[in-house]
Amino acid sequence: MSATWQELRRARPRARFARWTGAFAALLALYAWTLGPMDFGDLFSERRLTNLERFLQVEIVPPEVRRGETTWAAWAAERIGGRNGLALARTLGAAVLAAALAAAAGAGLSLWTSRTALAARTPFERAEVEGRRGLAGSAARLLCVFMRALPEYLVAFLLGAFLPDPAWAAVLALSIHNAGILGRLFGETLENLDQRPARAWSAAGAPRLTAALGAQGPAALPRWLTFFFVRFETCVRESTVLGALGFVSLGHWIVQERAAGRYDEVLLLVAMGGALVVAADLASWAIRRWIRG
Amino acid sequence: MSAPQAPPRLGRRGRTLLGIAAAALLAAILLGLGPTGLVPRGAGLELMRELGGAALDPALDYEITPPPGAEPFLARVASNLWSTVLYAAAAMALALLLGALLGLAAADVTWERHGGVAPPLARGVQWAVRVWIALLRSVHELLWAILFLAALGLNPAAGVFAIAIPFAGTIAKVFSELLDEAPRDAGRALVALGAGAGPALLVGVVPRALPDLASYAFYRFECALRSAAVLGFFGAPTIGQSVALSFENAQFHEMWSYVYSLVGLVIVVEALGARLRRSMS
Amino acid sequence: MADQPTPPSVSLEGARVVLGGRAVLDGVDLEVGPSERVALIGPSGAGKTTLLRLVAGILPPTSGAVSVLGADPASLSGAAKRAHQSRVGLVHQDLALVPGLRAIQNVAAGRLGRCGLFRGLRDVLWPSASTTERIHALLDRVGVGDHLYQRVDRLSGGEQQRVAVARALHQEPGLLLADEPVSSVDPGRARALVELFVELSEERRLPLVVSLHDLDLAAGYFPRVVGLRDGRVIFDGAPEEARERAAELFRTEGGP
Repeated sequence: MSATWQELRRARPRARFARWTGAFAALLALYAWTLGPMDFGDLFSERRLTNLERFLQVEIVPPEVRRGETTWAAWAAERIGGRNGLALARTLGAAVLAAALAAAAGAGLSLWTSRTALAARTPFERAEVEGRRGLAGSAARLLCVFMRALPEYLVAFLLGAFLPDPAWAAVLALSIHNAGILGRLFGETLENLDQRPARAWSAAGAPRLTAALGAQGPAALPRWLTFFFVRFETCVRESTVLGALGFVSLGHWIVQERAAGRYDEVLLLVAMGGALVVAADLASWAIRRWIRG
Repeated sequence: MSAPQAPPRLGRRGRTLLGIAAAALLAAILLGLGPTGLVPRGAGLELMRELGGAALDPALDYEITPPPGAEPFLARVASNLWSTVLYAAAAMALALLLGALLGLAAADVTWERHGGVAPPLARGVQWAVRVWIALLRSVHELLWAILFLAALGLNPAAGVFAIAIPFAGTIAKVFSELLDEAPRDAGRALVALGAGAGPALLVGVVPRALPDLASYAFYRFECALRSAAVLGFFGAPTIGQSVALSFENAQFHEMWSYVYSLVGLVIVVEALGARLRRSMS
Repeated sequence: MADQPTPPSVSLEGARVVLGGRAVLDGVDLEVGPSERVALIGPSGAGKTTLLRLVAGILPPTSGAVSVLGADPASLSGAAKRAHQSRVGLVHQDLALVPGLRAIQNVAAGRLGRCGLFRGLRDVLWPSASTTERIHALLDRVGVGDHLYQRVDRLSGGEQQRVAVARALHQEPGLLLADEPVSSVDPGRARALVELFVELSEERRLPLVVSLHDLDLAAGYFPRVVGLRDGRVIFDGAPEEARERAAELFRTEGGP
């Protein structure tokens, strides 16, 4: 034997970064649960339990149902249309529009965030774009990082402060965050594509943008659509709460009814939001399957 | 013999693109969105200018002299950030635990046996878990927070649970997909040499998916930070609360300092996640 | 007769395996005695892999009798089946190692059929000193002792092959099977690898069945060669016979 196992063990390759990250994460979690904000004494106190009991037995039960005049199902069926139905439609509408805007912006950004889409492909182009490309690329990537780092709710809060239409604030907030994510994902897709067709187009004299869109667009589309639908699903989820900032949708009425103390309505609206999210997930799954053929 | 069909002028992807554009247009009409809603006027314009100006000049100290004994401004930002991290970490710890268990229970590879088909009872359990996961995911963390607030009153643990519940669902869904995408050869080989289903799964399959699982968990932590921050708008002592307060007091320079500190934190976490991904592959 | 006849390690009688409506094995009779070494040759699709999987208890026969190490794998279930399977060491064609784990962990996984959940996991994640020493000795024996703590995806194809052999040996098998072990290594290394299998079989008195696509390797190292074609045994005998009749295996249908 050349080396003993003890020697080999001492010299073993170690994934130091992964280990330290794991250890740090575990410590942080432990600290957060023991010495952090969690107050279990208060959570399980008499007062909280009485609150919970009242909430479950009284507050979420519609008065008509409590008095025995109608059933839960009949009560809910009566309220699903009208104002609440419109709120549901507007919630979905904001998500659809925001996802589409985010995809358009992300596609535009991806030309710069990808290191290949607008890069020089021929010696002639190399002389032309020297230096400028790298700077634009870094700027685009930084912009994307910034856009996706901000929570949608916070952006909607800030935009809502000065935009005349709160619906626009919600839509823009959703699309800004998701454009930051799609800008990166779309760009990575372009980088991972076969670069030869685009090079052939460039060699034939096509401008860089034409070569990027014409030669790479069709190949990138399947993955781009997958990313789009995943982001659409999160947009629907997020859209159910942005109404809390004044955009008339499910979130708006949830906050209003809560302020009025009508928790039966709150619960119904939350359930409608949940149903919308599940339906959007299913629809997006079905469309993706249909596209694959 | 039938005549060869002419290929449709537009493929399914093309039609999907058109459909998305049409749906977006319809949505804009439904929401009554027009260009005028995008242009701030009067007081709004004034506020936008003020916010924009302050954005370039975030505060390093209180804008008005604080009451004596108050901690320094930057220390306040840091402690706000720290409590945001703690909320996110506590929620993620719970969500990861629940999500990993539910994800395992929802994955095909867990139930697959020799010969391929899982017994009907196992299929039943698996589908029940999948429906449960969909329900957990379907309600947004802020809505859970509102419900908990109504049911229990203001309590930090309620905020943590509000984030943990939908996150557990999302993590479970993605984990089960990653497990099912991992190659099965090693796991099957271990079963063939007599290993039980559990050890074969944990030794043969989970390690193959581990880099992707870890990197996704990191991304979710980033999302948990954002959610914890926003929870501040609903009363939790996280960074969102300071943003809302300083906005209401028109201390916009201070507000941007809070916003930027959150952005910085998220960017650091994203960079760490990318580094972890590289080190594990 | 004074000597008790030793029971064969593998015995197939009229074994037939139908997969997807096709008879992949069609009436195979085969007996492998204790510490006997057999090479299986035949064109791809002849049923070599299926035969090995049948012997390893991964596939049940559609009909016919199978007895491996004195038991019919298809008749066993639960713990008895697991115990039986752990006595058969199979080196898969695609190796089936776990890429993210170290060589020592991959070899330790060979014992998962012998112990319960927690003991098995502990041996893979935190092997004890004695287990480590044992695995190091095994890896050393197959020629990759210095890679004890390397991740297997960082090793070359030939080195991974040897780790897979060590995993099978760590099972302490009563029978060693290898499916096309040299299909992805260059000819020089193929020879060394086949020699390794033969040496291991000799020093451990292990019956050995190896499928190969190369007639020269099979005839050069094995006292007995079995030729398979279309799920049937075409010949079964000494290397000389194999050399004479190999053409029958690879003849194309409808040829002269």
